[in-house]
Amino acid sequence: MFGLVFFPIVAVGLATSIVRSPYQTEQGIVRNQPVPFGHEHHVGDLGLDCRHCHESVEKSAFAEIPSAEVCMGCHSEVWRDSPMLAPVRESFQSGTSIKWTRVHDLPDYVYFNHSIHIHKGVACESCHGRVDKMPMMYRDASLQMSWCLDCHRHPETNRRVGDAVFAMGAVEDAVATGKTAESKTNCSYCHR
Amino acid sequence: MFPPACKSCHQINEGRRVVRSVPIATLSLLGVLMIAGCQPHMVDQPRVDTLQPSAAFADGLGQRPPMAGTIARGRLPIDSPEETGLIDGKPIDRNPLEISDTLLARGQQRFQIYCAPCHGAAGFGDGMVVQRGFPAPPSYHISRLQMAPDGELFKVISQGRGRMPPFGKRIEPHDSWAIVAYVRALQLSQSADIAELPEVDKLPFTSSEAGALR
Ligand code: HEC
Ligand code: HEC
Ligand code: HEC
Ligand code: HEC
Ligand code: HEC
Ligand code: HEC
Ligand code: HEC
Repeated sequence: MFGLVFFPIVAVGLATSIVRSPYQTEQGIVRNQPVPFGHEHHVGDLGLDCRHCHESVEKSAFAEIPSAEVCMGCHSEVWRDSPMLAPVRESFQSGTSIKWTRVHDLPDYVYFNHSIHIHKGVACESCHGRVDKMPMMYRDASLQMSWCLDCHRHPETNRRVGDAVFAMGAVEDAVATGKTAESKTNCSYCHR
Repeated sequence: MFPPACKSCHQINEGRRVVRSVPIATLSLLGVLMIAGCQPHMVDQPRVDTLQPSAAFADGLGQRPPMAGTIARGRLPIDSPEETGLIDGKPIDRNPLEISDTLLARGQQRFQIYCAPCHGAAGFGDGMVVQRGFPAPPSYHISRLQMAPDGELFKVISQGRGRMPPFGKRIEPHDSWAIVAYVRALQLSQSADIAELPEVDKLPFTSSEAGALR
């Protein structure tokens, strides 16, 4: 019994202390999803704004994953009989949620918050990359602590104004916004 | 065990305790242990995060839907005209919010996020999604919709209509009224008399350099 519990723990401990390769941080890796949803199609081709689906991203810590109801707003008509969308229709009818596989998932001891970043003009693209070019979602950044800190030490860079925060591709940087950003590297900002 | 007062909301299996968070002292102790290789406990803590399931509730959802009749902070009673667009079941004539530049800017932004994919940026019913096969909505610039009271537009946004999905759960009333104001501005933009425009805006229509300006 003791061994059963102890060994996996040691294994995980060892694994995480090895210098992390992109494979280990799951950077750039596409996950299996119940529906082959493409940001490339919806953001790149259709030009949908992130907030059409990730509604709470400006207001709360969590960005929100859209419910089947949101998909059905369009897919009640577009591709209404496609087998690819069967799980969406099923979930819409039964009121259960679609079981998406999480692509980003920080350890529970890290407290991330979207709204502060959006308010300070940090663009989705700075952290999630060219989402409009992803046929399937993958993680663009390592999400390691050093990645957060690299930016937190120089928070003046990499910021945009207004709706450019949600745009993809080369956008003018917000040098003269008048909005300041402080360097926040105290442990307790991210660990409570 | 849960006192009776709690059972109205928590259908809990007797004997199962639900912990929201680990006390600070335990946390810091675990912090030390974590470095010693005890990570999984800290990585996946026994609390319900957004969208995680919970065994504490019969439907298994960790995120609780608000109870029927819940009024969110800062919102008015659910049957007030600001929330429904109606008085005695009839659409109200005028937007209850004061029209300002800020309100119109907010309305424009929300319109572009939620409505333009179908209705098109100028409201002609030719958005990207329509170009890919969604049935075309009517143009905002037909006289029936120009004449429709503000409350009617509000009701269409919150409850949907025909093939248009409802947005009541996704867009707060304040934003819906901002969108209504912006739709009115769009309608005016297509029907205003050139004589009524300020001098600067007349220029593109009167000047011989119109082509160059546009
Ligand atoms: C049409 C709806 C829609 C739009 C628009 C949309 N997304 Fe998504 N997004 C989803 C869905 C559904 C998922 C979950 C499935 C997946 O991971 O692909 C998701 C997942 C994500 C994830 C990964 C979540 C995780 O599991 O960690 C990120 C990051 C993301 N979206 C960013 C964006 C950004 C940035 C934009 C705007 C440029 C955007 N999305 C626009 C629907 C949308
Ligand atoms: C604003 C309208 C709209 C919304 C909302 C929307 N879609 Fe789509 N979706 C489309 C259109 C339009 C197409 C493309 C049809 C075409 O190009 O022929 C499409 C294509 C797709 C496809 C096939 C192609 C691809 O690469 O993605 C899938 C799968 C899909 N959508 C899933 C979803 C899911 C899941 C959701 C909800 C999270 C969703 N859609 C929300 C409009 C929408
Ligand atoms: C400062 C970096 C940063 C920015 C800017 C950012 N994100 Fe994220 N995003 C993250 C991190 C980190 C996570 C993982 C959070 C977790 O696991 O707790 C995440 C997770 C997500 C998720 C999964 C759901 C969630 O909240 O955990 C979605 C969807 C998402 N982001 C969308 C967006 C969109 C849309 C934008 C722009 C409006 C955006 N993000 C901007 C870093 C960022
Ligand atoms: C691209 C730049 C960037 C990245 C990457 C980034 N942040 Fe931030 N973060 C900021 C800025 C800018 C602020 C706002 C600082 C201020 O208050 O002026 C901020 C603020 C925060 C705050 C709020 C601090 C407070 O005032 O309470 C938290 C928490 C936070 N970030 C966590 C994270 C975590 C965790 C990560 C990594 C997963 C991360 N950030 C990655 C730029 C970034
Ligand atoms: C800007 C946010 C942020 C700040 C500030 C921060 N951390 Fe972290 N920390 C993280 C993130 C994100 C992770 C998760 C890294 C991962 O999963 O690879 C982490 C992981 C850790 C870990 C786990 C060990 C590991 O490498 O996986 C320890 C220990 C830690 N941080 C200690 C600290 C201490 C001590 C400070 C203050 C000096 C601090 N952190 C400040 C974001 C932050
Ligand atoms: C009005 C309905 C209601 C009543 C009455 C109620 N609760 Fe709750 N409780 C909730 C909801 C909703 C949540 C989820 C809150 C959240 O996720 O933030 C919750 C969450 C909790 C949690 C955290 C569960 C977890 O897994 O994170 C505990 C513990 C709890 N309640 C204990 C109690 C106790 C003890 C009582 C009686 C004194 C009680 N509740 C009475 C609605 C109620
Ligand atoms: C998924 C596509 C779609 C979206 C998104 C959408 N609509 Fe519509 N809308 C329609 C369709 C289709 C109709 C025609 C409905 C019917 O009468 O069958 C319509 C009709 C309307 C009408 C006219 C109602 C009447 O009396 O004829 C108004 C006003 C309207 N929409 C406003 C909006 C606003 C404001 C938004 C954004 C909050 C919005 N719509 C978002 C598809 C959409």
